[in-house]
Amino acid sequence: MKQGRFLGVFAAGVYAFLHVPLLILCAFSFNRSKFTIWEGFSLEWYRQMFADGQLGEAAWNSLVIALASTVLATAIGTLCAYGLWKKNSKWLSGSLYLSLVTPEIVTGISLLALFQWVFRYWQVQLGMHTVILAHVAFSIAYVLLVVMARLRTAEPALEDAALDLGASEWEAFRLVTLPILKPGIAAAALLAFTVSFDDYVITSLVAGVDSETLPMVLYAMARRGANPVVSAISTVIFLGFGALILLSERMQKNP
Amino acid sequence: METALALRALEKSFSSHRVVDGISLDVPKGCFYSLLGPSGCGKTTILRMIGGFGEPDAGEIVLNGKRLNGLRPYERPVTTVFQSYALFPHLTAAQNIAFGLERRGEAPAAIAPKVNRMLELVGLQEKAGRMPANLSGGEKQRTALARALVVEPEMLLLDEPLSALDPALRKRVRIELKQLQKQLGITFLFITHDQEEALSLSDQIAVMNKGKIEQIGTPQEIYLTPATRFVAGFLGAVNWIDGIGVRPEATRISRATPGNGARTVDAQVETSVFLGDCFHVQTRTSAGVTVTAQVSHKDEPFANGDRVHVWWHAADELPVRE
Repeated sequence: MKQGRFLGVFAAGVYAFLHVPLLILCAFSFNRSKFTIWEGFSLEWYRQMFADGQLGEAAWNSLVIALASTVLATAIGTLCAYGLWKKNSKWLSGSLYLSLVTPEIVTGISLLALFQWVFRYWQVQLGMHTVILAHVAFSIAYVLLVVMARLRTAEPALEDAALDLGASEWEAFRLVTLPILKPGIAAAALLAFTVSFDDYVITSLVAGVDSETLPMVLYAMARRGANPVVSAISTVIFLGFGALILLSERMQKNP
Repeated sequence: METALALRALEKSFSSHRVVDGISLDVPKGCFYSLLGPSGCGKTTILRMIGGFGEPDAGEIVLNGKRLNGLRPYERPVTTVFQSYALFPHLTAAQNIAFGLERRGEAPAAIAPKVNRMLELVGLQEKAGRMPANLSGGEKQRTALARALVVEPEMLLLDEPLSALDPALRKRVRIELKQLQKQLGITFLFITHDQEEALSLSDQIAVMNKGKIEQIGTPQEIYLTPATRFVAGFLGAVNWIDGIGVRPEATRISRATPGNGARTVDAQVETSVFLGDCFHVQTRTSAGVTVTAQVSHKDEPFANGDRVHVWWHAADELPVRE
């Protein structure tokens, strides 16, 4: 009994530590005052947020980049996972996980170096396309991780059975393996979308003048001093992703 | 009898270990043919090579006059019942059965009646809409069987299809499987390590050991006249007395000296185990060999330490070559 109560208190403490900062952020985004003293309810910061053209543009950029890189990284990562599963090579899959443990700043600088080297021979500049390519590069490992976990629970004999019954290799993949992987692919895509939308370090290194993303603008605003508009945007992002996760859970339950 | 499948000098090695070492055999049309042997004897590798999941290093696979070497699995007129059944988990039982017909491009109107007939044949009409996760072990096995049979293969390959079932169910399914094979007349190539299963189901058995065939014959032939010590021992218990093999059911024990014509050795009773339908009395001969005799309830009871005569008829000695 006593131990149960202690565990309850402990769990409540952990949850509070995780969620109270977000609740405070949400609360102060509705505060009339610019400062952290409650002066009454107001939607002023939300009005300012929607009126800000730069913010709107950055949000749009972030969405386009996240969507494009998610689609590409999910497709490439899924095929990679499938290939590695078939090849069953520890060395090959290990080298892909390496990009997960590489510090972001290193990934960012190395990508920048690559782009600058390529641009010497090919007259292109940093912009949305380089950001998308960079995001694809670091998202693939996340997709791989999630899809591989799902594949490991799949039975290798299933594709044999499909071939045995007259399916070609492509049909065996499309009609048997892919449907089994669907929940894993959806989860991988959601993760890729999140890490892309969220990324600051790599993005700021490879972005051009026309490709400022939401985290970059937010970072600049937050550095200029306390600004409730930042809280308002953060609240919207938090709610957006919360809804996305609920939706994906519901989809996995009733496919 | 016409030959369905012919294997000619088949060889296959995995990283310098020769798993299949010169296998040649003929499976007659409509035959229930078993490959029987311990795990690792190469029988599953042979089955996979016939199905197209691995090419032989040497030798030929010929089915009804057509060479199968080099063909992709979907180009071969054989289907497999996998050990794990390998049912597609995202499809219902009926959709699993329809899969092969769809891949062969049959019209949907032709597929439904065939699937229904097959469901009826294996007694799964009521379970047609169930997902594999909601089927029992026996129902999964029958779905896998129906899925492989519905495309009317020239030969059905069965990879230990009963090993995942519990023992009581296994015996019942065994009878069903045999009846189904006789009814359809399709050639079955059945892989098993269970000698009782092979004996009760097969028209012919090839006993394998270490990548080679030890003996081919009818169940009676290989049980009663095993060619090698391995076959004798793999098909059932054997008492080896001075190099002569006698099965426990042919071994007698008595306190009185047996009559003329019997071969006999002196022994002492060590233990007696009651098995329900009989006793197994274990004795040790004066030469120190352990000999087990199967004794019926009606015989005089034996106590541990009893001095007895172990005897048998010369005709019951196993004619092992070595």
